[in-house]
Amino acid sequence: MRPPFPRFKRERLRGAPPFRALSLRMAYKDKIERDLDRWIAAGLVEPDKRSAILATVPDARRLDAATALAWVGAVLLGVAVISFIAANWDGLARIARFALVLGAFAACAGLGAWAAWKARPMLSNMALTLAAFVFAAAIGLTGQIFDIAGEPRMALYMAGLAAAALALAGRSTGAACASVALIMLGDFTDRQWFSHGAGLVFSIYAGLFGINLAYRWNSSALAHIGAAAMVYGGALTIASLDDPGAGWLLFSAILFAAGAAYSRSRFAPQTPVFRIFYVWYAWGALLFFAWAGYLPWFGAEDGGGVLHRILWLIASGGLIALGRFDRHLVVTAIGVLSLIAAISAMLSDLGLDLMASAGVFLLCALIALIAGFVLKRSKADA
Amino acid sequence: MLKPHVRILIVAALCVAALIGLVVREGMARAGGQEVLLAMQPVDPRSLLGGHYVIVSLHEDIPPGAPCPATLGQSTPAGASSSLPRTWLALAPNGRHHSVAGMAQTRADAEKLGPIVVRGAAACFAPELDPADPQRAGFITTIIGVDRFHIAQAEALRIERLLRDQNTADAPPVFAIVSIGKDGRARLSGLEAEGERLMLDWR
Repeated sequence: MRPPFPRFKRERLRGAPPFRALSLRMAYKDKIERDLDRWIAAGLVEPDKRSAILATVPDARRLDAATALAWVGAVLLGVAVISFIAANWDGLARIARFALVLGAFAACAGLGAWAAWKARPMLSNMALTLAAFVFAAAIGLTGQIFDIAGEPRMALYMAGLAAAALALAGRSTGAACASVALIMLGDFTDRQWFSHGAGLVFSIYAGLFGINLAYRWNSSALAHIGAAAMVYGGALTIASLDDPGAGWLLFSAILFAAGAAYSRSRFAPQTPVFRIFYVWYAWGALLFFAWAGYLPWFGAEDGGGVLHRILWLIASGGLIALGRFDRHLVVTAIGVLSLIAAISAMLSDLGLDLMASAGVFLLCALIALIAGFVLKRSKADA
Repeated sequence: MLKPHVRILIVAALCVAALIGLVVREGMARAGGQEVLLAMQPVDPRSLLGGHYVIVSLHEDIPPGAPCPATLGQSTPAGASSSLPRTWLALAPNGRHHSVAGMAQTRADAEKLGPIVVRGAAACFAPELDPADPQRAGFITTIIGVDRFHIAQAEALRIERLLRDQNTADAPPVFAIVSIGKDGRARLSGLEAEGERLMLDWR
């Protein structure tokens, strides 16, 4: 029998960024303190060992008042500068406005470079993330200042590419997330759905970029946005087709199911990103499968019918079982939601009257509530 | 392998150079293009979050009973609502300004319809001649990727007031000044309101 997924709070703590590690460390020390008191009361630990054991867990560094005030002052200064510029924007010459926009970007990127030089990765990451968004804004403002007509989609793609370049140059997870988000936004902007003119979808490439970096840099945020971009890109690509049939959706569902199975097999404490991929791909597989049932199904004009709904129910139930087996709460929750949706779809197909529908929905609600209660109990037990 | 801070500075410099290059290239294309005046109409409401600008809605009335250009339909082709339509328009002189003479799928076909061609789309609405309302005019709406002119708030409000007050029986007092580049793209150069030209410059 395959062992359940290991829990790895300590391992995550080691690789976590400083702020995250700080909060985890505080929570960990508090928990140890509470457990120690319990073990001492139960006679499992000698009372005189309490201080020595607690001393092995380092105290969290606390933000002193002067530093906190400095941060508040810096933020307020920034707001004051932005307000001053906004108030005088009309009075500034176009060239001055352009210089301001370029200067803001150069300042953020320069701060990122300085922080990288001084080996301050967190500050560098923050500055480069900000630089990525400032550059996206700079493209829009340059178009506004000089009334350059262009395609908003192209501007977002260019901003995404610049953010990707900044991310790779400075190993910035934030800029990489910004890059994927900007390209996803570009794909959505000015799109003509279900027509020849819809154009290419780049979110899938952005997603591949995101999940590749997420794996290399062990970044949860990138793993989320990269995997989400894959699902989103797949959905947009199919929605861009002139006449999307069930075939493409079933093919996508199988691809995502294979991705979920692979991610599940690769999950290990050293590669926690696969746990995130597992969730998104499982969700994507069910989404595409559910969607397929509402499109012409291999020649039949009225969708998948009862066969599709039964397969949907089985897949949802299977995912719930898998989620329970893997002790993966989110996967279980996705399975429960999918099951409710499948039952609702079946009801809609059968055209049951309101009383019968109310009864079935009540049953679904009870299943969901009981599943939630069981999940909560299992979490509390763990 | 370059150090991270050097790589960041190189990428930042390339980004800045790309933006400056874009402005210079667009400026040169605008300066080198052929200038035409196109009629405008007022549009409400203005976006409050998009800065102060005048919405450039290219719209020209056609005389009562006059036919639409043969190549224009009553709606713009699919995809024409994007900022740069794929079809081509032919423009022909009409007094001080230019009017749409026709639309075609290719540049070569558009050149047969008028002396100046530009990437864009247009639609014409010509009502049936109504004896009860013989003055009922049709109109042509045009999309050439030029949709707004950013300007100081006071100027934007003044131009909007002029646009609203313009009498359709007279020549429109506000025109969009558009530069048509060799690449067939339209670039806004400024607006002409009551004979005064508000041009896009570095100031």
